[in-house]
Amino acid sequence: MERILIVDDSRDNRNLLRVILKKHGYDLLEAADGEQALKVAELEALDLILLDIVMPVKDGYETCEILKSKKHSQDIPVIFLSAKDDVSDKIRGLELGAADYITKPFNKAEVVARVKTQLKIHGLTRSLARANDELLEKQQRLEEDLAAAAEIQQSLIPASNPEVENCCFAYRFIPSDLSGGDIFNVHRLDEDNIAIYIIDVSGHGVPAAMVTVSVAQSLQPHGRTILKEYQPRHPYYRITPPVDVLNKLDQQYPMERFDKYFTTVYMVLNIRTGELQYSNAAHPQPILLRKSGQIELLEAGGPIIGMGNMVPFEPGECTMKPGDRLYLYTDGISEFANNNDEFFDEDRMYVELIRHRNRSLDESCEKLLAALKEFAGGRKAQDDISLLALEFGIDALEGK
Amino acid sequence: MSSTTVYIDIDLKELIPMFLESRQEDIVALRQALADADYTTLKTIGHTLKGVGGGYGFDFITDIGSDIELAAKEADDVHVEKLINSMEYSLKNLEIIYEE
Repeated sequence: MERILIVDDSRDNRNLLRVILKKHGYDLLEAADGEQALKVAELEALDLILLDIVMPVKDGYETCEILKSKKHSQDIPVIFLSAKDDVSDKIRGLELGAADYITKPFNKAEVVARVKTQLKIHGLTRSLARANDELLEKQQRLEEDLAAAAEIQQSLIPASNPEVENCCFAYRFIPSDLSGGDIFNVHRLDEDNIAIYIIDVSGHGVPAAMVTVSVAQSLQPHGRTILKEYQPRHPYYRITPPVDVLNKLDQQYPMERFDKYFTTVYMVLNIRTGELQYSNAAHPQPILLRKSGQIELLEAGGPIIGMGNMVPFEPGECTMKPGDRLYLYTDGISEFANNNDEFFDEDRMYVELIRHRNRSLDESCEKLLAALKEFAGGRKAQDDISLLALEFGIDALEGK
Repeated sequence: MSSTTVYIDIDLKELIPMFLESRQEDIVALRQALADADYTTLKTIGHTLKGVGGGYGFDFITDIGSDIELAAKEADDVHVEKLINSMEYSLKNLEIIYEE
């Protein structure tokens, strides 16, 4: 039952309002002056206040001002009910925050109608405020979850540059949202071989991050893994060729499973001989930068992961020589659009990498991202930015 | 001698004796204020009468109250007295018809 406080120094007026409003089922409280009204408003939960203006002790204007200045009463609608019928009186009342102004003597039906209207507005405002609070709380929880997901995802990316003899690594990872769909890593497969991969799951947010985490799990080198297959004779395993790894991922992650697909490059590098086997599932082509400054693109591969082996993956291979560098990246770099909606594109990348090939591997990554930042001209990244670089050979170990 | 007829909502019936009693008190207070030349009190009572009369159905009380408020502002004793007398007369010769 909605509770209304009637404030009027005239007992006859209070009686009249009580009789009229009681008939409509309201719970009614009364006060004979402003001071009393403020006390009641402090102690009782009120839905509406009908406030006379000319009263002893504290008049209606002052009372309204105090009600509107206090947290517990500021949202309670106040309707002035007064025999003061000048326009200036009404304006003053409304300017003090009153919801409405009724002149006395009043028409009973009008009072009831105006009271009903204000109670309805008040009710709607309150439910809107409640809904808003709930939404803010939910949003807060979602953001916390997203931050947690991002943290989990970040934990899957190497915490420091992998230490592998004969190789030097550098990488950059800049998620565009709280959590995105990029991941990359380097795993030791055995004495001579390492696996290198980079993945870009479609979409962003929690679904993309969860698929990313799941794929990263599948590509762990230990335990039951698709990276090594059991063999009945010594050394009791066989390193899975990159094409087969992509085929297995394709079986495990059909597009309809999570409504997600991903692009990836998976490669196996023999760190003794520099022999590199790879296959590319529709991912931006890794850049092999020869020591001489010549660029070769690793383009062998096939469609995105999730198509269900519709088109076979082609195997690719090459041999890295000392001083050669390999850059794997996601399209967050090549398709970074500036304010003119121009893409950064591959050619700019090649130019930067060639230009800085005599700097250290880490510096070459830094320079590439600096060029990207300059190109962006202050525009925010639209996608995750991932870059994984490798330099092969003895020179690399000397930290050239 | 003519009587004043008022039409009152049946819901208000139980309030009417108290209402009329208050008006008698007002008449006493008005006369006292007039004797004391207390125009502030005259204005206040006039204002209250203006606000309370019509709501009950006593439109003539609202009219007289409004006039008393104005006359008191102008310190027009003669007119105020006339208005008090008029109200007293009307209240003495009242015919109330309760309406459903």
